Amino acid sequence: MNIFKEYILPAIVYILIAAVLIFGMQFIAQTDWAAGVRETTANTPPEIGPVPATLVEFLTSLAISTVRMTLLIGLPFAITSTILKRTQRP
Amino acid sequence: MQSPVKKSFGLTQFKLFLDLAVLALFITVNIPQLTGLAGHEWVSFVFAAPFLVHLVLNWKWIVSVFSRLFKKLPGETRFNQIWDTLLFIMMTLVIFSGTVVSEAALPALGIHIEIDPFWRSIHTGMANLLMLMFGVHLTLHWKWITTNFRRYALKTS
Repeated sequence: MNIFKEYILPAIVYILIAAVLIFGMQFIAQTDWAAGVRETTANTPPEIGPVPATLVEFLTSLAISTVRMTLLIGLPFAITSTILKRTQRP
Repeated sequence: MQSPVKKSFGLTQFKLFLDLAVLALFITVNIPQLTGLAGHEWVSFVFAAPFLVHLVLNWKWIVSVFSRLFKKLPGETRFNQIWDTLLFIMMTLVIFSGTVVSEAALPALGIHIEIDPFWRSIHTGMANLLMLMFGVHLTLHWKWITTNFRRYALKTS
């Protein structure tokens, strides 16, 4: 087994592609669009705070996280699964 | 990224447990309301390593699919190819933007970066989109996961 060819080279390729992507985004970050985004976001408070300190806070965070996970991962999962079942039916 | 199930017992088993670890870490990263900002950032840094290993272990599939970029491919394989490429781009940008807006982990390591609100916006927006895309990615490989989970974790077949 050629460790370099099978593992190290792929990792280097991924990192290089990632670097190119990041380099490209640095250009986008200089555009007028980015300036607009920057202005809007600067006035928006951060969404994430510290770890829930009380039981009520914990339960609220748990509920929010569960709904988020269900909607953002579970829903596309269910929709794609249904589509696949229908399209792959013999 | 599909690979033959019985290609290598050890490798498939390792890939399964690695993928389960990636899934668990991905979910943990995406519940920052529960983990808090510092927890979110540290787990994200940890997540980057198994994510890279996940990509490296699927390198052969990626090469085989991209070597047939302009040739005819089965519909599901072509969709996987496009989807996984987009997922890689999104993941890269989310990890990078998350790193440069770090408020807890990087300062704790003695690295202080002036936070650009543009990257914070990119990070939040793309992270939500990434979760949607991840749901689809999970479905496309669900059969592989459940088959191997039964075989190696439950040892039922």
